[in-house]
Amino acid sequence: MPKYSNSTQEQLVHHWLGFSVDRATSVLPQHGGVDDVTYFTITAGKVLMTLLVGEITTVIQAGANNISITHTPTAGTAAAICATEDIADYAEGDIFTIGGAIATKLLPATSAGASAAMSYQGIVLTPGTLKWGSDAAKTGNWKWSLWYVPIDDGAYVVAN
Amino acid sequence: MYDNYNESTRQMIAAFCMGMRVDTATITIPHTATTIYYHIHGGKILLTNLVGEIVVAADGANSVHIDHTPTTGSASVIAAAADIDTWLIGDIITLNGLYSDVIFPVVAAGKSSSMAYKGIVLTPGSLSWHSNGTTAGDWKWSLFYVPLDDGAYVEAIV
Repeated sequence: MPKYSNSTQEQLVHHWLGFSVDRATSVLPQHGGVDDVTYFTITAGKVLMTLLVGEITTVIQAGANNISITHTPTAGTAAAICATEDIADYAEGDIFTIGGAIATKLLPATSAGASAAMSYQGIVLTPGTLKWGSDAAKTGNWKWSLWYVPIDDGAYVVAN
Repeated sequence: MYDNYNESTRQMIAAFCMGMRVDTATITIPHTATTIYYHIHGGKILLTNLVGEIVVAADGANSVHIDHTPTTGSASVIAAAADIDTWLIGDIITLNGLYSDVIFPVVAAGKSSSMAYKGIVLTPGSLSWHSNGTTAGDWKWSLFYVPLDDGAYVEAIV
């Protein structure tokens, strides 16, 4: 297979996954489940989120820490987009994805640098926010990237 | 009309449908050993498919699985072990995407479902093949991927 230029590879990624939005490295949510942190905002219409990938950049402090990701729409009902997962044993360099079903935990189920991603075509999200929550206040940093395609004209996602 | 496309256009269409392909040479099945077939460099990728093909049949029990060993982070299996004892020349091997699932198909066949997930996210590191037998047999593999980070790419080293 030929070596494709960077611009062709970018087009290829757009074809597969849509547009990417990267969030800067940050500390884990520290609010003990009281005040979840907005990581991404969906604006001006519905999008299809095709992939969501997190990566641990600084090792997580020991101890249980259940992570949740919730979609809070501007109009409508807030809901988790995946089940909570304890990330206590995850190491620097490990990654997270989601399966696409809201009852499915963050993937992988055990710490790893490899993970199956999104068994569905994606998750439809209405305008609003994606918030990350935790039930503990542990040290550790991570970064997240989201891929999406707009469903409504003008819809887009920004990182917070 | 479909026959009118030149080879480079057909390759481009394949890349857009399956991701970029990286082939190994035809190689002997590992003999109770770990052999690295691919390196991931420069950032994360989405492995969109992995297809193996038996070129010379195995001649005895040999359980094979595939592991990802990241440069930083935790190593893990990306496909659970399956015995390829009964596999024939021309049979193919794929995977489902979930690391707890055995390589596909479960029994020898020249056809297989492949990748129920959108793919497998892999951080930089290596993909290695493991076996617990010393049987004869050759195979070749093709890996398909799209880069998730700028500059990420895959290299076959066998």
